[in-house]
Amino acid sequence: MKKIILLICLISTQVFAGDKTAIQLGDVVKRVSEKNYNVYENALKVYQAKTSIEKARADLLPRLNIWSIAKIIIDPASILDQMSDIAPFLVPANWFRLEEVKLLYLAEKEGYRALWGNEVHQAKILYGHLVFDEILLRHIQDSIVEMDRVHRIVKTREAFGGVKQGAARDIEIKILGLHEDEQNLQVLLKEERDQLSYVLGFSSDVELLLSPVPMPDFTNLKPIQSKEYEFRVLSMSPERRQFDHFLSALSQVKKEIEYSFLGSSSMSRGVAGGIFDNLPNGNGIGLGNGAALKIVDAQKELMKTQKLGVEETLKRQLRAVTNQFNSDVLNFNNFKRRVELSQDSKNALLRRIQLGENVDVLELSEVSRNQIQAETALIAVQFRTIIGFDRFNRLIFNEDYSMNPPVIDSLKGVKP
Amino acid sequence: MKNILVLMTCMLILTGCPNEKEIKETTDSLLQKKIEAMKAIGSADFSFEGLMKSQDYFFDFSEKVHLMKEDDKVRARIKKMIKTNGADSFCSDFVLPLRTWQELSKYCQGAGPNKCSTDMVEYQMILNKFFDLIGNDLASSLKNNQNCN
Repeated sequence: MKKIILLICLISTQVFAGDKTAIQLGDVVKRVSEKNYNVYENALKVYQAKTSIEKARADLLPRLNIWSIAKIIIDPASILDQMSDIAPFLVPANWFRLEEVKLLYLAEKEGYRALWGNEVHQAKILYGHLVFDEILLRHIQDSIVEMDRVHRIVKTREAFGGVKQGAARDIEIKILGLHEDEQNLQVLLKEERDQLSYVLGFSSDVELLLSPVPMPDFTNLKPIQSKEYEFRVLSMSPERRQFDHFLSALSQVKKEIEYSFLGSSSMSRGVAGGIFDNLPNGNGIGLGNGAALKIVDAQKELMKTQKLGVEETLKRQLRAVTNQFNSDVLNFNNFKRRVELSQDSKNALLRRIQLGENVDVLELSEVSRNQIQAETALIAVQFRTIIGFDRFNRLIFNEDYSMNPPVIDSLKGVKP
Repeated sequence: MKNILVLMTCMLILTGCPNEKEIKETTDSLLQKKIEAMKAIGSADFSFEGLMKSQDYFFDFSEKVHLMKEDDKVRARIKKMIKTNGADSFCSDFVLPLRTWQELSKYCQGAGPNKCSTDMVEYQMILNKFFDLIGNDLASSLKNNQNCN
């Protein structure tokens, strides 16, 4: 019986133990493209928008039912009442609707590209933060070991009257502070790991093992002139291009109203057409058409203003990213020098202790703290530079972002 | 019944008007954008404003090729236009010559990451896609035309 219970325990441990999955930064783009929930949802929306084109095209063909045929047989003149059902292609508004559906599909595709780019960038940032925080945790743990060593020396000296009373207590307070940082960081790491596994589309019981982030040669990085890339940022921005497609579609909406005297369209603008739902439809040779056209013109003006807002935001984002990147690149050597100097100071003090000199131990703990801070600042600036450059690439849709997000067929494993 | 047939014929003629107007507007707008782009690239105006002017053409051209890919009718309409007007007229009215694009491309590929939009960078590829869509005979007549190269 005992053996059976042991066996059950063993099996259940195996079943409920989380899987460990090793990933690299290079896997992130593929994983987000194929498994991210938001990306998949949006791929489905693009698929719906594309299929709406087929639907709109098919809606141009006659759609008859038995009752309408019967009505025509009884009263042939009633054919004119049912023109939009018998010959929808004779209603120009329907063609314009088809054009709108096609343009809105292109707009939906741009929206999808923006979302995919953001998700990939977010995943890469999370990956970077996670690796950075893991390094920071190891760093804090090493510092605790080192401060413990100093604490022991101080305690011994305090017992023999070599240092002023209370020095050991002050160092212990600092060690406890480091322990607190260690615990907070461990909690943060768990949260970040959970967020990353969600963004990468892993199930919640998967434990991620991250490979280190490949570091570029920071001393060889060159500053970026933001002015040179303003055009690329604006012309590549899916957020802005979406507005270009919307504006093209609005011209079709206007024509739809202008030609509504030949019949109005009952066709849907498709899944992406929601933004035009509040616009009026033409109502034949009616007096309302003039006002309807004014409403469409105002909508066009509104979208142009929104597009301008997007452009200004993008320019500012580019400037902020390049300013930070350039500042880090130009100051990198300072950060490196600060680490070297703080290390030298600490080593000099330790050497003096080994030689039996009477060293101020509080000075030693201060020097040790300086070194920790300098090393942390160097690691932080390295990761900030990597993330900053990735943000720049996201803005100009370069490198990992230069490809197109996957379509639904490839996500479902079907060859498109 | 006769009246209905006459009425339907009139309707067909009448509904053809917006279609013709639509084609004219599209072609006029693309021609205008091409002229602006040629002017900007020809004078080596690669400032933000100059590139934005050129981008209008490249965006419009790639949008039209994307739409052609999705719609047989648009394809048929373009093929008819090339046959009617001839390769020479079509190239000079709507296609930015590759030699002009190469001038722009040199600027785009300067030091650092490419400075231009995908529509500009991939223009040659988009043009080849356009040639694939119109079929071999028409494509070879455009490819051999000086105004397209």
